[in-house]
Amino acid sequence: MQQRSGTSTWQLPSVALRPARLTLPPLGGGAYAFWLSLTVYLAVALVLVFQQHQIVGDAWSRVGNAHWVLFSRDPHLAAIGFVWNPLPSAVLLPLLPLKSVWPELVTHGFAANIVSAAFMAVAVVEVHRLVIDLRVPKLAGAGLTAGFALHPLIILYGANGMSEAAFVCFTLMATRRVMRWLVSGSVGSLASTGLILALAYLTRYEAVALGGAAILLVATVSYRRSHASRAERMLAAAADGLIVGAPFIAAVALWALASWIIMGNPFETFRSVYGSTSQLALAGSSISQQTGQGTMDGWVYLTRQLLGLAPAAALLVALATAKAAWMRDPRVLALGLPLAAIAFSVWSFVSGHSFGWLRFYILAVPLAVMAAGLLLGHGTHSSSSRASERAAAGSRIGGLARAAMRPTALLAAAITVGLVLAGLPAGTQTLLDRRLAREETATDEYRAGFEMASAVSAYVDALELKDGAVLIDVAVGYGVVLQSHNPEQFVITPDRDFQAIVQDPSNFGVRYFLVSDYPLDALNRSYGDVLRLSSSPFQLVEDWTWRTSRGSFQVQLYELRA
Amino acid sequence: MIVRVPRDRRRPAAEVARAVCDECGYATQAGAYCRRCGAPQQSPTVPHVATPSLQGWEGLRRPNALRLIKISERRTRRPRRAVPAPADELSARRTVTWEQVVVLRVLAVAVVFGLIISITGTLTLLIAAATAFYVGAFVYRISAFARALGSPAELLITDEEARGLWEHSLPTYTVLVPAYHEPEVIGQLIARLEAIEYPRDRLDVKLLLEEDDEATIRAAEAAVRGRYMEIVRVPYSEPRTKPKALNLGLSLARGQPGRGLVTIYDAEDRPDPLQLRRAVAAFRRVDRSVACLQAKLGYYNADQNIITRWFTVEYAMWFSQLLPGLIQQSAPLPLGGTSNHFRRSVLEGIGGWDPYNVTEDADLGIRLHRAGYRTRVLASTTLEEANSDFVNWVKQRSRWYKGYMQTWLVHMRHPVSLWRDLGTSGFVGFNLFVGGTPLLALLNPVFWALTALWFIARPEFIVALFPAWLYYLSLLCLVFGNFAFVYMSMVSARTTDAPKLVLAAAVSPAYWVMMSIAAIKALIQLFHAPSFWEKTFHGLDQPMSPEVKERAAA
Repeated sequence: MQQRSGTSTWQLPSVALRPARLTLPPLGGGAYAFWLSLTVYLAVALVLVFQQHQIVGDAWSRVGNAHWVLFSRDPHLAAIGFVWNPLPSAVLLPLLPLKSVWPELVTHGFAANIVSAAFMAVAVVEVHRLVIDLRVPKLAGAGLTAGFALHPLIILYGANGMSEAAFVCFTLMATRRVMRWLVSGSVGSLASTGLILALAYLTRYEAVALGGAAILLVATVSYRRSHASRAERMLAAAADGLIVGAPFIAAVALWALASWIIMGNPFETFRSVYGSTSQLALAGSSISQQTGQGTMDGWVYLTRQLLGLAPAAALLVALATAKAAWMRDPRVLALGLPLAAIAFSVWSFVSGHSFGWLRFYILAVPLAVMAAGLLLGHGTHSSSSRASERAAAGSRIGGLARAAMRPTALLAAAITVGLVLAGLPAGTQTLLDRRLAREETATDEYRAGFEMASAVSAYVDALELKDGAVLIDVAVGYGVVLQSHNPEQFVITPDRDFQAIVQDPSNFGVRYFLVSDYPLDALNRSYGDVLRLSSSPFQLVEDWTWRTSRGSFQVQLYELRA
Repeated sequence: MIVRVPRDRRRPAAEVARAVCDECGYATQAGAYCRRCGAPQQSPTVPHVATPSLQGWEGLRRPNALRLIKISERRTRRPRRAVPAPADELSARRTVTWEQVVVLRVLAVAVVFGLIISITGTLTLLIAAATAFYVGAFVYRISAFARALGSPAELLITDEEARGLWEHSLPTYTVLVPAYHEPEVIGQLIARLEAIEYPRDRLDVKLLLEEDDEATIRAAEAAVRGRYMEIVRVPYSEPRTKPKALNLGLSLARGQPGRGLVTIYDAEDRPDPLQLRRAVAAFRRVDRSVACLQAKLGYYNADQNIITRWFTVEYAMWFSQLLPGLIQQSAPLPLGGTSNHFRRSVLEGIGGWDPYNVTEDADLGIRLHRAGYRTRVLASTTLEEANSDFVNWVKQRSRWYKGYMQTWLVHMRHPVSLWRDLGTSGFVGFNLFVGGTPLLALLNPVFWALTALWFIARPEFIVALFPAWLYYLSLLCLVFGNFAFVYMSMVSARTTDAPKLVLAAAVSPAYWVMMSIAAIKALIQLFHAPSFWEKTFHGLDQPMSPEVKERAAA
């Protein structure tokens, strides 16, 4: 509002909270970036899924979670499950009805690949917009965008259907908006950051680190920027912290509440038998054997993983911080978001709460790109004269787009982009390393899982059973149900009568038990000993065993004798 | 500023004599700009329409003077549709027409019949309808909000630009100030009106005081200085409403009918002293179809108590987010009660305000839109007194809701012609906004009660009422809808630069309960006293003398 100051009668109560306004370049462009990268990711996905039969279990299982909601014996929303946060499955819901035209969406879990490709393509657009926001010279900006979009880990996770794509996308969106807020002070940017953080939490629970970092950062900056009394500064900090934090906190609380009402436990991922805690307990020793988790070797291992993904990330962040400190550019603070998420992954690995998968450090890739962007971008034009003087100097360093380019500046830009692009060969190397990329190199396991599921479901379909005739735990056997022509013949774990049926299967018309050798399989836990007794009412009908490089797994079909 | 118009763009000589500047009223040569004041003129393809002069305020009191003049139709030279042929077709003198009564009765009979056949089925159907309405209202408001947040549509006129207007180019500005039983604030009011920066020979302030309100008249007479300020004694007649007084004031406005600008202030307003100049500059900047500028309203006593904080947050959301958002969706804009600036010609052309409507401002906004005129938001704030007292607040709010219901009923008398006038998006916007605001407040308690009942007692009949699809949709509304509204309030509160309001906004659901109380009162009153004006008492931000307190209570 342009009003004369001094006449106090009609002026709004105002506290000088806003930093100097900066006119940001308009959003736009990026359409090419989106369609190009979407095409690349989808092409890779098609090869992975249909030619290589590389169907990643976690992605396929999320298709399953969405599938139970719509097409099971007992379709209901809570079937989406509470072990994983719901968004990756929820966004699949609109795609699933298309399975009548294209069954592979479900039988090959391709719906998940489409969604991850779309999310990753949006992430590429975000990088493109970020370099525009940062006023990175065009060619260098294109180099940085390519350095992100073509990074092998980004391509892989854009293509393979995992929820990392959505998480990377939301992290980039949130970070860019925090940067906007840091220079413009606009409430709109702050509010959209809050909403994006909520979505990030609904995607992966690692987002608590993002959310916490964002709230802390925004509150601190607001407090420092306000020049009013202490109480007013606290209020300003609380207000901005609330704006950025409210959707995120609401998402955490509502998801916990829903889980608590339906499952009797607010945080299923930690408490459930299928959650990461119990899986870790099962796999703990093998992880520490391979990675040296808990010892100095663990630190070496994770450093190799991080350096392998983005060799120059630490250097770029340090340089960007130094430049920003010199130019008084607050936007570097926004890097705190991805840094917090990476720190969270590091902490949970070191303290033995995580598997130490390579993908947990995927944010190192965008982090390096963002730091390079800050390094190459023009400074902000803030109000203080010292800052603007330096900003001008910084623009000279970063302002490479203009005709009169100095060779030194050009060289500096080339080196910066080169440092980002170094992630491409290094990432490829890392992805092929069986020790560092334990999950990504387990290609035969994925293929085996898919082929076994096909074989089992073909056998069961051939029996032509009535609805609810086969009891199965879909936390393990999702592939079998998704491949089946008649998913309603299975009684699955999310069914609301599952517990009752497990207690008294014959009474509910169950004829077969499909049991895996996985110790956490619900049927194994309740019937494991009984099944293998010779005097039991169960008769082994069929046995499937698959051997992979890492051992074998087995599925058995038992018939329940009347 | 004199703008030289190229010779070939001038109008033929015959028309030159008739060309009169719309801003300054000065006979000028035709062209894109006034030769005298530089104001942009109508494009040469649009013939100047002489607006009928109003034969005194008696005529204005009669609602059949209300009309729609379709500028869009005139421009395209389509045959003009006969707009409101029957008398008072656009007035709230009658709350409902007999056709509406028939429709309502048929609906009521259908519901009763449905209940007899299948209680659960009918109730489920009603809940589904309500849920669909909720979804629509949420989506509409959230999208308006998001649009406004993305690109503010306010007209911003800087102080320099406002002060820089050439004094002799300014049009006659009529400022209408209706007041009733406000002897305490009249002195401050006059002081604030005197602070307005506008040449006195072009300023025409009309204090519209009721004839029997001796105390206020005396106070005004003691305080008024300067000939530009005039006290108008409004003779006693029914309905005793603000719009009736405004119509009288308009008919007495100085200068020739059809020229100059008109605005309204309430007795307790503290307008931005440059507002009139900003409005003049803004009118020159915008398209001719913009007939009204709504200045933003804020409160000077935001910090008084929690009610005033909530109220301030609500206004911040309304004027800074929702109205600009509605403009971008080209939906009809219900105007706010004061600080709306009109081109006098348009105002007179459509017959002024509806004296029977208790939110004449909202109704006028819709009528302007139907006639093809547009409203924009002017970035200039008038500070008002926020209602700090619960009972007083409920009275005021119930009047607003009643007025919205009246407005909705009046314009929905002929839904098809309304739809033709507003277009699909405007029609939807009108229903969701003007009809929707009181309806939301009325429906909320029903659903709150159902939710509470479900969590406390888990009765079986509630399960029966919500089949799975409806259950999920309602759940979505409950969770996301409520969160979205609280969050939008918080974000709006933050835009006011008073961080304390964000905390108040976070607990705004309690405010919604107050809204529901007011809506129920409004619905009851709509049928037994449709045009009764619930007087809002002002001056509650000051420490009160006993007799004032007594009057407030009465």
